[in-house]
Amino acid sequence: MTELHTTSEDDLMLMGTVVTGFEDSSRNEVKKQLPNCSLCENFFSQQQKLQGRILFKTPRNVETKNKLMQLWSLEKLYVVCGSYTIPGLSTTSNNEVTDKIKAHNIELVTNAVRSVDWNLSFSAWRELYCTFNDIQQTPDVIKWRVTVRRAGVHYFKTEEITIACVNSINLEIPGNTFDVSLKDYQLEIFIYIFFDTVFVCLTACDDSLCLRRIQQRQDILNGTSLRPSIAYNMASMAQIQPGEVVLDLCCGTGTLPVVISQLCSSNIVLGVDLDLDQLQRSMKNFEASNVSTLNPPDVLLSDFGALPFKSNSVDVIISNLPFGKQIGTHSQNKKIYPALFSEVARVLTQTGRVIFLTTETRLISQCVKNNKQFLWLRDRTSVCVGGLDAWVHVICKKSQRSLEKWRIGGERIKRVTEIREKLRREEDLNRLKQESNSSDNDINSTE
Amino acid sequence: MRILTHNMLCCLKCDSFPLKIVAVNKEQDEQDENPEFIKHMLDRLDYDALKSAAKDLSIEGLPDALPENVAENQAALTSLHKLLLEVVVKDGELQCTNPACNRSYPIKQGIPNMVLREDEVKIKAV
Repeated sequence: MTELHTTSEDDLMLMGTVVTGFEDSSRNEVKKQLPNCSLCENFFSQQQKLQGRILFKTPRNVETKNKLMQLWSLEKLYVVCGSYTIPGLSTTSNNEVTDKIKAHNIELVTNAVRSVDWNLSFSAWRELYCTFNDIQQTPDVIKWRVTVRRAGVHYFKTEEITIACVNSINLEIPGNTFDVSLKDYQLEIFIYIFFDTVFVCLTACDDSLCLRRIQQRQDILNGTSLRPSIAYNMASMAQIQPGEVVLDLCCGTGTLPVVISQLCSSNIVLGVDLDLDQLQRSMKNFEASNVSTLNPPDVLLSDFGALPFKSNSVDVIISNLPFGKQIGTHSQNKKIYPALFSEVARVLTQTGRVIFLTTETRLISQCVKNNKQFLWLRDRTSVCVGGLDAWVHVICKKSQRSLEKWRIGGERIKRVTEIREKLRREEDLNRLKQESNSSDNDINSTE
Repeated sequence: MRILTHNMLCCLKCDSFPLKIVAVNKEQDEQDENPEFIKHMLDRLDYDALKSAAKDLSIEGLPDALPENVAENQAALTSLHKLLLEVVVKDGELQCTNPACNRSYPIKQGIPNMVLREDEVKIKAV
């Protein structure tokens, strides 16, 4: 058993859940916000990559706590009190499981759990928990529970390991100040068994960090509202410069405009939707999240197939397009996406960028192809959105020069092919001549 | 709807720009000043459209042409900020200035309705 990273007197070891697919972008944000932190590699035993989570170590001080509150792309945050690699914990095949092997493996894990310095971990957890929940002190008797998650094939079941962990932790911690409770708990001991590695963590914040900041209430959000962490990542992909016009199509409850207004204070942010009810909700959202005094987004009721904007007037178009089954269908999307793209090509400025989140990758490629004189698909990133494999597409407008090239392109391509054919014909002739020469030589030599 | 947004809107049927504002109810919404933002916005603004919007809302004091050194002129920036960001049209109408089209788009609770009816969409397609 080898020990990896842990929280110590001076340093906090933290694990954050992030949007699967945006790990690198989240690492960049953490690095930018917390310059003193050191990020840990996401690769562990067996070359398995830890997906949807990042690990980092930061100095344990007040500044760190305030900075953590300002992170956008993190969702849940855990204090890592111990992480251990136990070789041979996970298997690759479905071997026959005997009771002896099972008991041995469970013991390996519980030994790891028992070697955690609980007093140190609890004090680190207390600090963060109070900051995130805005309270002065944790209650005298702390209710706690254990949650275990696994990745990989192991010799034991999750329930079995959970019971074993609860029993061993119960012996370690003082019983008079800690009380087991599966519901209404303050402390969640989260044990994540990732192939051969065991992370023992304490949950510091169990809902999205930025949801707390955005202050959206459940009655304002709807079923297909975008998570703020995804919105942040989409906005950072757009690389919005000061003074640019940002347009959110299908803004719905307005998560994207809120996030963008908070990130970029000198941009015009506009939202467009076809549902008046959603727009009124988004107006409430703007008020609730205090962006109205900063840089107020404006919303319009409009169809994205007929946008009421001047040509060449919008720099960034960003959208969580209709996809999936909750709103719209694939056959409906096939009708509305082409209309959308012709409008996008019209209103976008020369340096314009388009960020679209959707599962309809093939339809997007098709639409870009149909508008290939104006648009090109620069990049796309796979993202997990509510269990769906969605993609974030980055589409750019082609420059004026390439547009002209395209116009004269037809003629140029014709000329190039003519020249190529001429060359090929000459080559063929040369080869024929050489062959006939060599065959002549052969004849001569045989003679 | 703010005047800044109006500066980009055109008629859906005939693309005429700018639209005429008929305000029934407008508000002055206090905002923190952000001179950087106004400076960035200056190259994007269509000044003629801004003048017509100010005229429609009977706001006076806008010069005929934008002064050259407006970026250093604190008073000008403040008045632009007041006009562009603080005036909110809550209820009213946006009217197309093209006499052949004359389509009007209602504004309700600060949200302009820029959706064409089914029959109008077909006309545009033909």
